Amino acid sequence: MTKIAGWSKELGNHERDMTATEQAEFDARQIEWNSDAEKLKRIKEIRLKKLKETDWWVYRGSMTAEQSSWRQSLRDIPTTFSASDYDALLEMGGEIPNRNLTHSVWSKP
Amino acid sequence: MSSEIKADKWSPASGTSATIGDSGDTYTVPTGANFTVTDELKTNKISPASGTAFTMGDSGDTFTVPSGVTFANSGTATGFGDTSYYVKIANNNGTNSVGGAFINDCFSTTYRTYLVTFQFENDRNGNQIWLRFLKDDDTELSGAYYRYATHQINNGGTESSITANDSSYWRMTGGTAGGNTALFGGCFGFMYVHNPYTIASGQAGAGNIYRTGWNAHYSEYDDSGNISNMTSTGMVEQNAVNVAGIQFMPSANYIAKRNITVWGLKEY
Repeated sequence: MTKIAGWSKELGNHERDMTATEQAEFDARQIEWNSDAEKLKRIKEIRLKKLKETDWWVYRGSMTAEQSSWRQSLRDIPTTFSASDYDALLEMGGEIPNRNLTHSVWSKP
Repeated sequence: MSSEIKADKWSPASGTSATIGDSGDTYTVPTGANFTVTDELKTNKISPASGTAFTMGDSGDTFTVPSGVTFANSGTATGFGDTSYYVKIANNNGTNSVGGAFINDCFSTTYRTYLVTFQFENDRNGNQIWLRFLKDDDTELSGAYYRYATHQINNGGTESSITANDSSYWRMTGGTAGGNTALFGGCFGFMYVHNPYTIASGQAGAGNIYRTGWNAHYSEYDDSGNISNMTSTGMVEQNAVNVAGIQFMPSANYIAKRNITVWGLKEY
């Protein structure tokens, strides 16, 4: 059972197991979270952030071929990669505060 | 020696200190007799001589609590300060990952307006924070009652909204806040909760289609220092049951750290 934290007049701060109803809803949310559609959504959000971070390359007007190729590879993620690659694309490594995405597609040139 | 001693003054037999009686002895100053100490009186406890009431001084007297002294109250203090103030009701805090965080029975007929302050940290990217109210029996108010409008603007100037008419929860945060990639974001802020309990006929809100409304102002942030300003208002579109508690949930996975405090607003 998953733990839930609470406060009540009788117990103050305490933790308890989720009820069967709470656990069922929690599990359903986990299933949705782990669905391919949700993973792809998160990948696209990260991609958008990476593209926004490097928009200034475009505005500057002197983007290198390597930089241009990398930005195109980000746009091609949905066609280049399949659902079986999503976990690898979202995988993170390193320790806080230097924890980051490990897949090479995210590495800026 | 026994019976009665009559003297105008007692003094130490030698030196400058004297002791009255021994441990276990009781000395009584009878009704009508006064006992005056003109300098410092040291004791560990003052209690009523009979009954449960105790009075300090008379009208016009001034009692001073000097600088540096702590006046600790663990009971009920009435009549101090203003007649309108915030009363702390409950706090839920912790730094271990949990599937939700709730406070039971923090709302009642005592106050009509409550302040909820909160700080949350997500346990991974993309998590949203959701809210549901709790009923008197501590179960969730999970019907399609939640109607809300949230406006978000991030530090890059991008605006967005999160709205719903018949949701079974209030989705507080976007969950992405820039697509954070290292530390996990969170949110912090406050919300006012109005009329969670049934209120007297004739007062504002009575008999309307909602019981419990809120206004919230909070921030959602990500690991990169990006921050969004969030403002939201909403209501629970029902008037059948009282709202007695509050529960925050992650959209998936866990809340990594939490600190939630509920205050009642004593208006008069």
